[in-house]
Amino acid sequence: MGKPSAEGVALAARGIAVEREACVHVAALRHFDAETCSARLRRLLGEALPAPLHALRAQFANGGADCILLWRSPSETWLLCAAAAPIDALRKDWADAADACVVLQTGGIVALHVSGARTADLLARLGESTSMPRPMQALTARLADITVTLLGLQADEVLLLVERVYADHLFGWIRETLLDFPQ
Amino acid sequence: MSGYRLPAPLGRRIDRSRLVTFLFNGRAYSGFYGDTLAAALLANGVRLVGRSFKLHRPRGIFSCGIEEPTAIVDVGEGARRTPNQRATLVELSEGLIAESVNCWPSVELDLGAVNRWLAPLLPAGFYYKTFKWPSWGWFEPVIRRMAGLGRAPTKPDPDRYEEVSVATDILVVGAGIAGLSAAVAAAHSGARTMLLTSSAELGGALGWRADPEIDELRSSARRLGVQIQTRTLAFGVYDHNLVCATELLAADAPSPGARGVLRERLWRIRARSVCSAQGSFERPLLFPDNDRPGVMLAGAADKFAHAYGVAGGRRVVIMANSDSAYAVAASLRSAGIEVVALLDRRPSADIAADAGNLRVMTNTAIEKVIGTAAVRACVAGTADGRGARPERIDCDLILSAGGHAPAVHLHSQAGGKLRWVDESAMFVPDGAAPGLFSVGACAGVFSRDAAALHASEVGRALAHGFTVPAAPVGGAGRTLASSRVAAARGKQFVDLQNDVTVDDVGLAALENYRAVEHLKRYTTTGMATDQGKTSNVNALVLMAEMTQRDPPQVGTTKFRPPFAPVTFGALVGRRVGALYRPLKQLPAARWHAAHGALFEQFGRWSRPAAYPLGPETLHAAAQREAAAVRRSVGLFDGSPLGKLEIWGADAAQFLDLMYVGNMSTLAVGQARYGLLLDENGVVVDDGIVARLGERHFWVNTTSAGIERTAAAFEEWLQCEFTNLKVLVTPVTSRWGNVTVAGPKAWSLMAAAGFDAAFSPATMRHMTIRDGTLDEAPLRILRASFSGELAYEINLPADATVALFERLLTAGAALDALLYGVEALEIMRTEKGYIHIGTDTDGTTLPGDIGFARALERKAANFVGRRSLTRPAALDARRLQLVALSPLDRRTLLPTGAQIAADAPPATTEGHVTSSYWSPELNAPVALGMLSRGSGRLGERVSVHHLGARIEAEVVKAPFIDPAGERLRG
Repeated sequence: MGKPSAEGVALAARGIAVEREACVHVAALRHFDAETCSARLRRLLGEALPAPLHALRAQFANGGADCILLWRSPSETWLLCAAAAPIDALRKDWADAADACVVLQTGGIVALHVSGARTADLLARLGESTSMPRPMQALTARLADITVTLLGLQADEVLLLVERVYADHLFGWIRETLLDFPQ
Repeated sequence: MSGYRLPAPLGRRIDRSRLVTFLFNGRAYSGFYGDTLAAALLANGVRLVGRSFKLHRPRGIFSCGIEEPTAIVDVGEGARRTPNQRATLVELSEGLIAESVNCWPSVELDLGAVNRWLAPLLPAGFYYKTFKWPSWGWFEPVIRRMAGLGRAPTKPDPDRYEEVSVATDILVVGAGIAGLSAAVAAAHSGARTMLLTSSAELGGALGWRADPEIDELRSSARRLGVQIQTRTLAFGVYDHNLVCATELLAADAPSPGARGVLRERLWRIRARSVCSAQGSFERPLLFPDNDRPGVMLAGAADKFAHAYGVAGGRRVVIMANSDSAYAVAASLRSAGIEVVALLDRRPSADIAADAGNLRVMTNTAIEKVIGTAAVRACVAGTADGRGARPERIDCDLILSAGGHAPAVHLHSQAGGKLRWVDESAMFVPDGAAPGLFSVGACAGVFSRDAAALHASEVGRALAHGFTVPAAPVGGAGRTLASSRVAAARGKQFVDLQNDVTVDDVGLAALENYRAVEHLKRYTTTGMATDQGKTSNVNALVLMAEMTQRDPPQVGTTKFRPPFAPVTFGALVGRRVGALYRPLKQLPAARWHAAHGALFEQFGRWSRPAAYPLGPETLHAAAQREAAAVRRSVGLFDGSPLGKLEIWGADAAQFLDLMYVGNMSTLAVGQARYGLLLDENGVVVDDGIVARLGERHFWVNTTSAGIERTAAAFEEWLQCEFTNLKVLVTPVTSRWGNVTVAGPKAWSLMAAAGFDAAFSPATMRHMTIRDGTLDEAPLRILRASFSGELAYEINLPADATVALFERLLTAGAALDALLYGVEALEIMRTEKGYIHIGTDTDGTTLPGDIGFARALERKAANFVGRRSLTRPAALDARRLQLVALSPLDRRTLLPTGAQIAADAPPATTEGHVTSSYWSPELNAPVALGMLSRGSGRLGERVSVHHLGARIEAEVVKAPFIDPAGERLRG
């Protein structure tokens, strides 16, 4: 019988810290044609869609909120923001579009912020056989037996984006792994 | 007591200043830090270590490494007991506890040894021919008890295991001179290089001798940044150059009560190229009683002497078939061990001329070994049976030197071919395997200088992507393939671990199990923990002899992973307890737990099965909850319902293609039930499709079916309906779902402040509306799986708990309660609603579950349609969904029970798929699949379950509210 595990927000060991991001607004930007979509995006965020397997930082023109555009697939890019305003603006702007739509995912995607010199060691123990994502590289991999999107922020700093329903599982796996890291 | 400790400087592996005490079979012994258990036992004069698998013959230490077939022990105790460990690999640690396996009451006095008298009745494959009468079932329990070797622990392992995944350019497996040379050359050429060795130290077969070249290579490897993993055994090569290896982390045995330690690590290494340098195994010789404690591989005795400073005996006889024995004889003598004779089976040997004062007897074979629990002497005679009288030679250690067998396992696993080298009687890689290149002895290169040079060239070539040079096979000397002693008394063992003898191979040949794979399975040779490392070549050479073929014509069995046994712990890694498998958690999981939920797993979800009050059982709680929902109102967490947003100009057309039922005719705000088929027409999921806009749909799938439905949609869009402009986005995690069901559902919602626009008067059954509650967005669907007035309120996952709280508080006056999956199952069965995967299986077609008319009504094409016209789909005898009721209206029909005219094994007519006690009817209700079911209304059937027969009747569904008045409100 499964029981809900205790909710965790932060973990640490020597050379590594893992923190559950308190508030991340997420929208899936779905599109048929990348060029048209990029043109629409530029109007609001000043940036086109990121290249495959990459992410880029953007700034919302009306309010200065920081955003990240993260490539997920040829027809999907995630927009991650600290505030809801850019996503709301985009939804409004794209409401009548025939070639692209915005699907809200806020609350459905949990972000775990991992940083420290042993970040790559942790990822290797979660199942990632490629090297740690470089800054602004976006990969989707199977970590802890579930699908996780990895976003490299800096050297030794990565964001793990996981479906909310599996967040406890991923956090639990990390907690178990860090028990065997020097404290 | 024959073994003894040799003086320093012999024993490079051990630290004589660190004494280690351990228990073997309950008796205390001591050894040195660096010893293996086998070395320490030999040094203490222990010869009898175990009993053989089938005949329970006494067995000792046969080798010095991973190929050990006989010195099998259980290590540790209690929850930390690890069965079937090879004593030659167990590193000695303070307080280590080891026990012999497969013996009772003790290894010295083993009652199972009675089997030796029954041996004539237990030839190869005896279990295929005997125990047929009166019934196999009579014998099976006893045979199962006797089978196996060690005893597995019965309690959970307190230790931890982890998995590490890495990528590298070049992976070198094996750290002898060839492996080190390859790794150093690759690293020197700039490649990311990883080097694995199962040993605690680098150097391989030369690592225990003073060797400046090895020392230099070790230093170079470290200096060049080669990632070196010692105590790490590569056990398998898988697709796309994935190599798996286990690393032993906690060699020291923790005390039984200690907190768990990180014990082993599973490495998953993805390499651009793999270089195998695993060396070779010495091939034992066949002679009567060649399994007695005190018979050992020659190379093993040499290693015990030099690496561990242990002599296996005081008077040594070497039985040889190859040139390598002469080097061992010289090495042992240099260590101060007396070699009384070297018996060479070959008619002549040039190398014998260089043996100095060593007594060499050519054309000689051992005809008899004297001693049962330990060797006391042997009788040597002429190998060809002619000439001098047999001679008794007193000895306590007989060494067997039959040449070498390259360790081609990884090469073979990677798909490489083998070829036979007649001069040295061995199989070697025939070129490279895809992505894997062999060097050193495992490539058949036995000359040290040639191996080092070739390995360096391979390492360099792999690093630069150049063509890899062919291996200069040679240097192993001359070896006779055949070694059995004809017309001798006594068993000649081919496979010591499985008690397979020369006669067993002969029997297999006689009974025409001539193919090598048949030979393996009929005799069991090459199975179990040693995987034929010492037996394979001898077995197939024998089979070749007995069937008048050459060894290459017999071939070898396919080597499969694992190369050596791997613990379940290493394979499982972190997947224990709560991490056993990924479980999806509800957004309100902790809230439910705080409200007394009893969680169970449904699909991949952890969900409340019910909310028992105090000591209430799950059954009683579900009955109470279902009754309360029918009477008043209940709250259910429907968050697991799969949710997809389908968007695009062709969304309606696409959904028409995917579902049985027309979705394009839905007006905005309407919803319709849909059945999803695969291309075979089989029902794989169901759900509700609702139209949010002209090109925007909301699709609910089953809780367990979201992944397969989303994947099916994508596959059809990407592979078949490529012209359609449709985007499919899963949003299950984004939305929570609170379902309010019961005759007072709307009363409760109204009391909680919901807008009157959602009332049943204005919002009809099977419609969907977006709205807000205190500014929180809502998407409300009026649909019902319970048969009651119901609202499925979808809202942002973060807001789920707050809505539950609000509704529960507002519902206090209405006796609102929480209900779980079990109550829902009762209610949907009362209504005759199917549950995909429970009432259906991998053969169910829509016509079987009452959708024949829907199929007729739909003119357009849809996935699976064509398959529904196949003869099997139109067969009138198909199983069809029916409602069942026991004639006595009291007896619950067991789920899974068979419906048949007579008791089994009569032909079944169907089975019960869902069955519950209905609190509404105070009687059982059940659904089942029955042959020709749709035409058997009112017919009586017999339901059989574990010998019981229950008479039942096919009745009309649903059991309650046939007009559907309740759900319409």
